[in-house]
Amino acid sequence: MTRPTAAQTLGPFYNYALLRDGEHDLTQGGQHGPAITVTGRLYDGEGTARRDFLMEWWQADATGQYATSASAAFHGFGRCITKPDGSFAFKTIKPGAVPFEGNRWQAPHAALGIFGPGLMRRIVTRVYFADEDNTACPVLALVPEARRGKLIAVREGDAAYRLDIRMSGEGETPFFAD
Amino acid sequence: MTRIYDPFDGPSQPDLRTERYMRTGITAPAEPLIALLRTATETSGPVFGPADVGDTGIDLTNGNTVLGPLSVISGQVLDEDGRPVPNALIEIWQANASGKYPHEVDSRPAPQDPNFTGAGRMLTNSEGRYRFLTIKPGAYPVPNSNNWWRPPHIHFSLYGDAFASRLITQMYFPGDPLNAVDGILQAVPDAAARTRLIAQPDESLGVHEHALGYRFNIVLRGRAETPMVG
Repeated sequence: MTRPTAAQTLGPFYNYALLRDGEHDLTQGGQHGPAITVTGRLYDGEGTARRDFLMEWWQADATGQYATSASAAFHGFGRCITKPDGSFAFKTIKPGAVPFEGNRWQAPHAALGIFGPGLMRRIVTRVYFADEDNTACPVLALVPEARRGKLIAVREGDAAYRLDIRMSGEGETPFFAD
Repeated sequence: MTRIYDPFDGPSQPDLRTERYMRTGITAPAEPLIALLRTATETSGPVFGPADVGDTGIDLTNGNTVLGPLSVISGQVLDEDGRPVPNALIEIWQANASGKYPHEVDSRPAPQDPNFTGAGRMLTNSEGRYRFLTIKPGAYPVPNSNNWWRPPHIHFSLYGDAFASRLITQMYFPGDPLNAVDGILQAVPDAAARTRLIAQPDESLGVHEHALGYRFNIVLRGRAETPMVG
């Protein structure tokens, strides 16, 4: 058995190579559910909005199933690079609840992978939705109760959600071991 | 088959905080990372097809004459059991021969090479193999770093069979004296893991009297569950 190749930082000079038009829009291949937007800003430990962080979004479809082929109706994956004001935006559909062992369910969520200049490797978190029942999610339950709210996007009008990411320090977003 | 994706930690992965690089203390989480169960979310992942590769392609020279030593970079993408990972999306990007990226944030007054694209993209074949034609990039100084120069390197982005197997890394060139003093390569504590980030010269991969050949194999996270014995 061989250990996985070591990760190395994304660095600052990648966007011409990694991002194509519209990758933040998961509904490009057809909508397959009511469209929503999730926007926010990414801040570092000094409260500075940070540009050029790569955010990767992975979610199930409206029935809680993950795509298993490139020709799936809903691909479930998007990428976005934070703008100079630290902002990011994804357009997608609300995922369904995802099965979990023991006849339990994970509340609707997306996995978020974050890479950036000054991040030596990926860190991961999740996005939940304030208008869903998150109380019984076995993964959200792993997060200390006082910090859970930082993973839950708040509703900002019809079909629009907002969640800021704080990489470190005051109000730090809970991150999971990758 | 149940697949296992062990957490990223230990000496074969870089620490989130390092002394030298871009003030990692303000981007690395201060709170401990929360141990995550591997659920359907982490053991599934995006699947890519030829339509995702687009026009970027495998020839970073676009058939043009470019500055720098032409080099074929080729290898195999494997899982932790040594099995090939087919259909993995690989994206690479790099500086040109003078250590300059075609990026607005790279403000150093070094020349661009208009014939060199600096980016490649392809899917691994059924044996997990990939191949790019490019150049060995130049070294360049890290801003505000007391004259730390990055060794020549190529950035690699890979999607394997799951969200948990996602990898972004950098490939280095053998024999470069800057490798031993690079704050990013040396942030990987384990010497063997660092060595695996350095490509190996391989004449059989090059093009006679045209391009050098380098082999760089990549291992993505993921292995078969060990059967229970007894």
